[in-house]
Amino acid sequence: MKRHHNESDEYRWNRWYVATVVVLVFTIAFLWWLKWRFA
Amino acid sequence: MSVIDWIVLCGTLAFIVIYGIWKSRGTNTVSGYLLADRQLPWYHVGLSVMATQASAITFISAPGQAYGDGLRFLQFYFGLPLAMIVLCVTFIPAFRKLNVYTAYEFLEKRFDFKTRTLTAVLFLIQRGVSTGITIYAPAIILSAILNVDVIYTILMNGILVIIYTVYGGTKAVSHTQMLQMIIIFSGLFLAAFMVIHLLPEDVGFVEALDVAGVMGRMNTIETNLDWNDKYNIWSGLIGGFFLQLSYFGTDQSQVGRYLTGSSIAQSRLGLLMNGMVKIPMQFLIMLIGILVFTYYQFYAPPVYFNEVELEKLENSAYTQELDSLKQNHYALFDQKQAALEDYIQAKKEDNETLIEDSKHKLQAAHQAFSENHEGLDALAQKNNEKANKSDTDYVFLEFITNKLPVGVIGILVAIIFLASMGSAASGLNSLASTTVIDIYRRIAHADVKMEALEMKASRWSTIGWGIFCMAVAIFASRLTSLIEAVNILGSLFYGTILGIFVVAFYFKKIAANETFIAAIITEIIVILLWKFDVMAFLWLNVVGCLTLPAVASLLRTRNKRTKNKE
Repeated sequence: MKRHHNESDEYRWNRWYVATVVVLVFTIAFLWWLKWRFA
Repeated sequence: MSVIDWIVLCGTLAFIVIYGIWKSRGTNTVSGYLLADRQLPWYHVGLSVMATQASAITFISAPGQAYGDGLRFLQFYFGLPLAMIVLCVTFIPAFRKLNVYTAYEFLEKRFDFKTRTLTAVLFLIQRGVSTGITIYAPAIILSAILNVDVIYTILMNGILVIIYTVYGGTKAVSHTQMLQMIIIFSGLFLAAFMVIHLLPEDVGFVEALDVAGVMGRMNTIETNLDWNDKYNIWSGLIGGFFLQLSYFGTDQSQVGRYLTGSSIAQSRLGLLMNGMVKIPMQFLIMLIGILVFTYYQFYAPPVYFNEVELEKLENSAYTQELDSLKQNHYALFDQKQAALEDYIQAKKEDNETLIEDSKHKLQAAHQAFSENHEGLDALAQKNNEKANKSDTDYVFLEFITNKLPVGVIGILVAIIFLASMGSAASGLNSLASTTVIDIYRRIAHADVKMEALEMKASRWSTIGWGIFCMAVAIFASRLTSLIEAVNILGSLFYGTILGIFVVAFYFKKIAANETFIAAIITEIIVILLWKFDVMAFLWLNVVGCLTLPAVASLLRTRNKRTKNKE
């Protein structure tokens, strides 16, 4: 039971880490678009 | 500044100090004083971490940097979100599991006393001096705006921070930082709105960015890999990752912030919030610089933004050279403005050939204008060697004080004070934690716990470090080269210290002595690389952090072989 709990906890955190990377990728993509559009 | 601005400024500062004292009343345990009883929620942790990193220089220099150099500095922060993830996976659980107060306490549990003391002492020296600089840097600029001697702005800033940090410890620091960040964010949005409002009627937000782009200010991403280039996507992602990892993972001024989280989850969420919000926040600050830049394409900027140095030049032996540069300044601005009007007209007509033609003319006019300004920089330097080399540091402040309405000036000057207070408070608090936990507790009474004595020691060491930092700030005002030395010193040690932690976490078989010797060898390599100027400083962190585990592993293999032979 405990093992199951730990796995789901890890899974929950992995989703947060992926979300952080996605935000970073979108931020870089947005900045790149700004350069393409205005520079 | 007008009376209303003074009232707004003093009112905001007094409110912060009273709020900090009120929120931290009744703190009488070491855990409460140094770790806020580990009870803070994630948004508290996140804002506190952000306020610690954002010093006054962030708000003064960053818009100026965007004005002079464009948005490329943003790339410096690209590695930060990735560093936050590593901290969440490895550092936070390790620190929480051992229930440590400081990052260095962890090192004794993993290695030995000497490794802990070495890193703690390195931290105390580096953070002690750099907190002094954190107080000094805005004080010198604020003294120019407020028209008072720099000693008074140093004392005002330092004493206000000492009052609430000594009284309430970490609790006061975190609560005031949250409020400071809320005021800072509101002020930034207000500033951005005001600049857009001040642009000519037919120039909107998009047109403003377009003009900035033509003049090379929208250089957000640079993909060429150049080892000596400070800011490109690679140095930002890789070098920035290692730098931010060592800053957030091994610098007690940051570790002390996220250890206050009420659980591992709250500390993690706080750091991830920082990872997601930091680059957009920095973008907003620099965007204001870009908008100010565009504003000064339509309205003539002052000859020199640093009014103090300009006044010195006007009363020097260089008045003739100054007059000719001044005349050129206005003549070149007129030429640039004519080129700008042509460009905008061509844009309206949507004529490709005309647009390209006027664009080149505008760029050439801007180049000539910038070269004239560089002439002023050189003249100011010739007249006063101690003059700040970067006139763009004064762009935002000059704009705030001369172009914004009464009341808003007070708020924006208050923001600069608040940012400085936020990072200085974390600095003092972490210096006190390290002094009491890593030095005093360890040496004075390692076995017996004496709550009352340690509380007293924590308060007195905060006062002591506060006075030390103010002294450094006053000393720095006479010796500007000190600032550069401190910055270099910091970046030389960061990689090695991170390397020690990397071995602690990921190389479980490597022992204390091997790590200690590897640290010394690595530090020598890093210093040699810096001395012979082999690469830009961001890369030194990478070298330090990767060399140390490699050398330690080699030593480990060698020791193992010798043992086997025996």
